[in-house]
Amino acid sequence: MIRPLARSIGMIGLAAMTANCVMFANAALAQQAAPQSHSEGRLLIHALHSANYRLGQLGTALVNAPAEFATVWQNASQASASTDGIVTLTYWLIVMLIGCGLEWYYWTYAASSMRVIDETLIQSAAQAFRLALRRFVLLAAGLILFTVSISGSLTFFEWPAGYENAVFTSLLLILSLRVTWLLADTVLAPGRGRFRLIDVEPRCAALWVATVVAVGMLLAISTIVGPVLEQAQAPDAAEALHILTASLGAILVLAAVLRHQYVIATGDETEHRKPPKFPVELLLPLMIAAVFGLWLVAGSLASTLLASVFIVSIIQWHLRRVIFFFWSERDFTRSPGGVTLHEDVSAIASRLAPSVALSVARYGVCVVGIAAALLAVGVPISEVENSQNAVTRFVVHLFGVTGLALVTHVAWVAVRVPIDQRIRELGPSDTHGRPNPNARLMTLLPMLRMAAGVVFGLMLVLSALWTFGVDVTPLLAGAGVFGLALGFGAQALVRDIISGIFYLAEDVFRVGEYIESGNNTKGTVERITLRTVALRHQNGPLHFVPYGSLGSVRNNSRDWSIDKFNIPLPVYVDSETVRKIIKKVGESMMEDPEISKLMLEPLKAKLYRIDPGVKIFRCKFRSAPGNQFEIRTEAYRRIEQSLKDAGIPFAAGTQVLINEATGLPQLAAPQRTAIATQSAPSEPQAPPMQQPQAQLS
Amino acid sequence: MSQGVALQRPRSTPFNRGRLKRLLFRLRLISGLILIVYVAMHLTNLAIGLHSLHAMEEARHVLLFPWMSWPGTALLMSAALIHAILGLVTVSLRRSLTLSRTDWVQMCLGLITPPLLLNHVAVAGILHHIDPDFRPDYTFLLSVYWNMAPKSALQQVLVVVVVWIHGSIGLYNWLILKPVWRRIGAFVTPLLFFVPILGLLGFVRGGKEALARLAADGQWQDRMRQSLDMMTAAKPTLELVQSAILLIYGALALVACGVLIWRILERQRMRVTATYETGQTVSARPALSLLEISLLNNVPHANICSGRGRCGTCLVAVMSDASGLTAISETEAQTLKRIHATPGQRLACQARLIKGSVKISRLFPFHVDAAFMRDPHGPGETLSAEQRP
Repeated sequence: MIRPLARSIGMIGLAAMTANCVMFANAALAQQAAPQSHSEGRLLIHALHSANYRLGQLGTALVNAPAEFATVWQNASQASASTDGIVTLTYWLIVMLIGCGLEWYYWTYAASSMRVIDETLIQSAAQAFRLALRRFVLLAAGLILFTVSISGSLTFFEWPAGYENAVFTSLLLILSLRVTWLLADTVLAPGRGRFRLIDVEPRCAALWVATVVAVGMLLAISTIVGPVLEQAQAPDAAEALHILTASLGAILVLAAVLRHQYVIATGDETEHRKPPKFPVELLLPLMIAAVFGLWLVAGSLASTLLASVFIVSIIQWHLRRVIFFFWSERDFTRSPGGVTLHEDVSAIASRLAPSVALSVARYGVCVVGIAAALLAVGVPISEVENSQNAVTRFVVHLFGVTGLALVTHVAWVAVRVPIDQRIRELGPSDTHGRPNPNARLMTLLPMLRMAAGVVFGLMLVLSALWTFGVDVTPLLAGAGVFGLALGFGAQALVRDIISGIFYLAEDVFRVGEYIESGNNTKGTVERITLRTVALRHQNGPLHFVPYGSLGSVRNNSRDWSIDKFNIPLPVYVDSETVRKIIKKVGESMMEDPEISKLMLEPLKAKLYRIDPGVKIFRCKFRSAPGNQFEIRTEAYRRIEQSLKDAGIPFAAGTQVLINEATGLPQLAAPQRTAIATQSAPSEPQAPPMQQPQAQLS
Repeated sequence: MSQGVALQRPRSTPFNRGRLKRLLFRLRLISGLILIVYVAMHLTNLAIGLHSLHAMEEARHVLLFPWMSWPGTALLMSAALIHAILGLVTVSLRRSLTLSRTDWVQMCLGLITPPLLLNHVAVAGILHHIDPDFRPDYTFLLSVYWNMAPKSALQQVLVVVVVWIHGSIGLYNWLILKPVWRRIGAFVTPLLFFVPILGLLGFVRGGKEALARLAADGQWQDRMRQSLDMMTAAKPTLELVQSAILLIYGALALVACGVLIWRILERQRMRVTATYETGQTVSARPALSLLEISLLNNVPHANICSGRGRCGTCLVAVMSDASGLTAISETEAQTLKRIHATPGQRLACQARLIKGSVKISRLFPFHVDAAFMRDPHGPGETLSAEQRP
């Protein structure tokens, strides 16, 4: 249930981001273009022209680059083969000796801790996560020591003028390489599938680490060395370097993607794979090609925007798997490649922490994507806050609203996931079956969920309006006045709702129970809404009773019900025998598994009244509510059978008339009864004065 | 083992072969120690340049004099030659690339040392033999490096670091397992850092001083010119010698790397399997040591000396038929004796699995360190196979 919502919110974020990007791209294009307004067609032509121009520039750069590279190389070798160059290299080597040496010394202590982590037997995902983090901290501490010692020793030396740049560039490259490597290695954990933080195919982990490090390195070279080349009066060489790194990066990523797909495809040869509904495998290469192509024709701005949109989309697509991976049951043995994900996503989704983490992560990814896009466009983040530009202010507000939406969504998830989970635990409600003891929760929880949703939604809308600068005070005041008026007008409605809440809170009835209300409506509770309760009468009609007019409620389905009925027997039968026979019947009913589970107390009988010619025995049993009728039927059947076996007839229902004249009874009742049971009565009888029949009580 | 070891004599009983290998390792170690002592003294001499160029010259007569005498030179040259050749032999003797990180660094630095160092050796050492009048001292060499041949200076600076790191890795790995390390470790470790750093700083300081003198002292300029002429005259011969040495070394290095690659690639199809006490079973190509099988399959297996048979941390108990394993070599026997191993226990780095499968139980936890193995009482605390879960 969470899934579509979370995904849709992720998509909204994505859409917002795309809108942002498009907006900024347009703004950037407009800045480049002449200030006067363009029609659509003009814009297209302009774009074509600029693409053409850019491609021409790239071509020129590629043609001029070798000569410029040669010059730069010559200058560099001249500069390094000088007194200053020797000094710089010596100092640089000393700095590296200090940095590497200190890190090595650190590792003489830390290596054992690292090996302890590697040999630990892992039991749970949480432990694996902790160990992976510990591993990361150990590695990162070494890297930090390296960085700090290098920076410290850098300041110690007096570098020859003009050479600092080269030193800094080289150190930056080394550091960026190491940081990228550390991060990629921690996340993907090649060769240590147990420690990976992302559910990437273990056989491809090393491949992806290599790709990430290589691409990161190319990016670093492009961004760090490029400006250095431009400073050295070699703009075409810098451009050629960009082309080289971009092409190499695209090729590397493409190769990695293809290799990954190949490995995945050859991995499950045993299963016949159904072709996907959409050729997803084609999508990634297409994306890479699109980004690279856009970079070629439109430059780094547009391609960065497109790339960030793509990356955010891909991450959003996989985020659920990535986040739930932390909570998944995995195989933590060291078997190579045998680390399998226990695919029970719905179970994970029903837990609170993963759902909250997922929604937070979705927002986080979107925000980071937007921030990356802003950085790429070159919007000065620090000035954005005070900007007077309407568009910029709108974007800032959008960020605020996004944050609000995140908080609201987290709160909403925090409320609804436990509710959903509880509802799932209570099981499916069956309105015609036995009333579930938790049926009240089944009615209250969805109401609570809806109420929370409405409140959260309203709060979000109001705060969003407030963030955008709309004054919500009159709105609130208006709503207050309106609410007052509405309250007077809808007094009955309010009464219904309020009394409904109390009915439910006091557990007067639940779905599936048979109740009789004060105004003579009765039936099984089928549905409970905010204002009414729907009662299904046993004959079919459905009563909708507002809580306000429900009045006193008689609930027939609570705890137990007692059923009593009479059995009239001829007056001459032995009461004790009958009592025992019926008791035995009761015991036999308790032995029947079908009946005994509905019975709370067994069937018993006692002599209740002695009328002329008739002994009336009263039978009594206690059963679960709502089942008394069928149990009574069964009791009748068994009692009849038992009495028949014992030769005891029911009271014949005949009346003995004493003839005043003769003073003799006309017929003794027992004989008559005996005859009547043996053959059909031959003469019509007078209608009995007292019909001996079971009475409902 | 039997393939590709061109330098071994084919007197091939395993015992003799093991003994030869042991001898080679011992030789490599001794030659390396001689070399690092020389480099340390050389760098110390350079470090004295931090005081003054004059002090450097004075110290040279003390610090480098032993190496200038003919037995010293002979010892140094033979050590360098033996170490280089045995280094290549070691490379070619490897069966896999399961090296520790420091071993990788050491191997690569060792491979590039001779070409980097050759120029310096030629100017400072060989030239003197070509032209007996050529007597290079520090002032002259520093002037040459800093003024005339800055590229060579860059090379020298680089080679100082390369050689020193290579040497200190070897020295550290050898010393760390000795009981004496507990006493000398606190002195040796800082020395490993200070010697090259101070040496480099002395090189810079001395270079600047030499440059200043060159600029100021006209007489000195004339002497420099004279020496340079001498150098130029000797240059063709020198270059011939250099390129001959480089060619030979390059060919040998190529052969060593080729042998290594061939040994890695051979018999990839055949598999042997090892089962651990945890029940995990892994496979590898035959003739690898048990330790290499573990490392290739990411099985945590303690090894402090990186499979040199020194530390004994890779000790395993063989739980099944051991007929697929190689016999116990002399190195292994000694280490086993030192750590009081019982029969049926082997060093995983020395026992190679030739065929079939074997079931082993690792006896030391993965996290043991050198301090543990240095401890003379350490082996008594070895977990027996029964004690391990």
